Amino acid sequence: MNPSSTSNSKPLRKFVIRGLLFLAPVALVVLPLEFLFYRSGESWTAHKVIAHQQKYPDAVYSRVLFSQQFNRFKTVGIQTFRPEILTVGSSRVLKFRKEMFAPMEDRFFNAGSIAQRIGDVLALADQIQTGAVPRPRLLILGLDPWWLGDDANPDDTWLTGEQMEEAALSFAGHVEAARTLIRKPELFSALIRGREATPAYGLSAMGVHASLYGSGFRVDGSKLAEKDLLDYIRDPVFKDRETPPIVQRIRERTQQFKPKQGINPEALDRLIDALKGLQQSGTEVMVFQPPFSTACHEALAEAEDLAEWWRAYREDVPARLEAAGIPCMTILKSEQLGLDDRYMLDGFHPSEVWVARLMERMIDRAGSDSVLAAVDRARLEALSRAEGVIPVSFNPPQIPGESARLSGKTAP
Amino acid sequence: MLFNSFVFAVFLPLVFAGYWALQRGNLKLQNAFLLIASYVFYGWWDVRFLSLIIISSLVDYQVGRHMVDSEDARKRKLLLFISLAVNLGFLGVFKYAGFFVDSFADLLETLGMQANRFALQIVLPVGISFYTFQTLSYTIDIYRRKITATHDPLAFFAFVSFFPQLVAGPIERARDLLPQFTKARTFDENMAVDGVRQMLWGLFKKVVIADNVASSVDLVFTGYADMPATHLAVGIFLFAIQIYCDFSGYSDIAIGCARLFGFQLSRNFAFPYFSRDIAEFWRRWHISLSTWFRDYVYIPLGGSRAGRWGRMRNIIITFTVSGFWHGANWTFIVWGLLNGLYYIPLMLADKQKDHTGTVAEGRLWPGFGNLAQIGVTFALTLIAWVFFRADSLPHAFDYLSRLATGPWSLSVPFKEQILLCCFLLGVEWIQRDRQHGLELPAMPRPLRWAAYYSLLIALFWLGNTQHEPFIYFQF
Repeated sequence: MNPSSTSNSKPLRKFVIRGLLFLAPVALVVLPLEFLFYRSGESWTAHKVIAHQQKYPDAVYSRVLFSQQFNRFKTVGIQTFRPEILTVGSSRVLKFRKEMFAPMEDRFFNAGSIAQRIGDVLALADQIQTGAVPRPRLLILGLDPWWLGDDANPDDTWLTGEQMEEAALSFAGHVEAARTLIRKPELFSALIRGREATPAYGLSAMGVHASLYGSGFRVDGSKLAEKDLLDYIRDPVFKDRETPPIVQRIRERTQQFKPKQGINPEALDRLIDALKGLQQSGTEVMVFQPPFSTACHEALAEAEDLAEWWRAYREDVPARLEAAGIPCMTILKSEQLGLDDRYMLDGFHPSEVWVARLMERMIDRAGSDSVLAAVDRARLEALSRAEGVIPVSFNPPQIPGESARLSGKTAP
Repeated sequence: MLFNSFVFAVFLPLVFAGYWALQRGNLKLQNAFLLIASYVFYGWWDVRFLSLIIISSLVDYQVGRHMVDSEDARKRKLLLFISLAVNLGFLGVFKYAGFFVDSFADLLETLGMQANRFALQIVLPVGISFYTFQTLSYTIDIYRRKITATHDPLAFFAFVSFFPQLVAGPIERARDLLPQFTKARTFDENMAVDGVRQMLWGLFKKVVIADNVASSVDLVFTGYADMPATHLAVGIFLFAIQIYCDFSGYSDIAIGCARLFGFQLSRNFAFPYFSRDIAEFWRRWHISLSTWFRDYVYIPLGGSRAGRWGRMRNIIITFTVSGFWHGANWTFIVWGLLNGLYYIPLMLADKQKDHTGTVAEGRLWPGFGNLAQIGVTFALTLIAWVFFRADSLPHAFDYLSRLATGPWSLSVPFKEQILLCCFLLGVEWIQRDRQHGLELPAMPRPLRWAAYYSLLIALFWLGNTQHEPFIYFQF
């Protein structure tokens, strides 16, 4: 015998109505907020952002309420664009732009910020080898010194596991976004305004950060930083614009500059093995050491508890790479390129003009069988030497009253 | 699937709606729906291990049917043996095989012999200790003729895998839960509303308190060697609250969730940290497991009918096995043993049932005597928790020795977490004669709703969004 469950729909209906009434105020807050998140581009997934950029190549993207997830955004970028020329590194490689690689502009992608530590480079190399990430013909790697400190863990990476899950599709991501909004109420007006044009160039912005500051990733993965640009235009001198300034981090031994006794030999060995593996599988590899401002060099020279690490990074690491057949550019000072600190955005981020000059040296160094041999050298030179170029930009925005002040301060 | 995940927040309303939509239909259909929902819930974690639940259910269902039809004592014994062998066999292989291999190798090496170690990389199926004990209670009770076997396979399979309590209890007895699957279920609004309240309170305990305290506890237990004793004391206090909120939070959600479907699960925690002695603590902590061990280990060993030494032996065996149930590590065994040792003086003095009611009933504050008893009991449990939390016995002993020898510092760490814990203890003290922290029948509705919204805001603002798994899943 199968007794039937007792029908009792009235209390059930009452329960559901009470539940909905209780949740109504919550929904009244959450639903409009979710609408604003979506309208501003904050809660767009990496795939949607890149699809949008394919349709509107001038659009720039950067969110601030949701986790920025450079790891995911850049990985999806590589998988979508399947670039032949790929730059990899931290934010210090973000100024490589497609214009520098003419006539191969459309085959370039900047994966700057994808690697925050040595383990990320190793993981990416592994993903290229296994086919999880498309293989580029040329990989340009910006090698940061702290990746090789004796405190570096080569197995630590954010390119696998939960950190690669899309924040815009996770409950936690939305809760964190709402919390950020409460902590930073000044972002609320930007969120309400939605996707606006960037302040200086008037580009289409996706995400509150891009709308508010004109800061974000272009379709080629490079980074537009209008805030730094406008700051330079208003006051055309070198400033360490990072927070806290890089030179202060060195002096106070904070963040990337905590005391180190030397480099981690295992990390260097594994890096060399990974890069050689890529070479053997058909990917040309070129390494460069991103620059520091003069003040940073001076501070590093005075830091006794960083001395051996800094020396090994400058001397031993390039020597080991070169000995393994991996070209390594060691241009750590602007003066090596005939430039000065104005070509740095801060203590350790070079400007796009600086990077264009570095590219010229890279082409000089590369052999005739290199992918770089196909780059139009004349167009590259013109980029950083044309009229109107300023130390921090090829094509500064036109701001009434500023152009006269800037004349005479163009790049040499 | 975790109770504290977004997937569950979608899963639960869908199952609720589907389940009650079937209320006009056949009860079998409703049970089948619950069974499928439970398998989806479990399979979300790892679908392969569903096979273990299905095999356990199948074996015990058949064993039960054949046992009840048989008067042959030898056959009944054989059938019980089959049930025990299959269920404890799974438990042995998946939970304890690695421990026994390692311990045997350690023993050989201690004796100066060559040990051929091989690492057993076996994944521990979530909840195996819980559903194994639940289904074992069915066959053992049939063997003892305390219940009769069911002839409704759907009801039995749904009983074994009922998703609210599948992975971390409460461990239900067949005689309590199984009949609920064979009777028509009526939607009871008051029961459902109180279920939601209990779920909200459980979620608060888990997500706001346990998960926020977890990182501080981890910090102390990994870096304790460089910390003053004050930090170590705070670390173990926070762990006591963490494990309580983590596990009782799960039980609250499980019980509340079951009530939404018209099921009444047994109470698993009754404000254990207000206990006045260890015996009372064990009547209030993980009640469904304590009573399981009482009924299926302690009493069969002779229980309190034995002489003084026999009773002591039974207590020690029961607590030690209970410790081993928690995990394949010597730390859990010592934790169980220690609790057994705490219990013995009370038993010898015949004072183990001195405190059965609510402490300071009808009063706001406890008297000095009660306060001292609660303090001493809490301190004893804290010492035992060190073994429970430590990675190894040397780790636990080192932790305790550093705690005892200092140095002590005046600065108290983790103030925010301590504040959260004090809030919890305050609410639970006020609610200590209720079923859960959010049972507020005397409070006017606007105030009650304000309390609910306050908890929702706390979940939003303070909740850990990393979806930490429940600690007891590993057991």
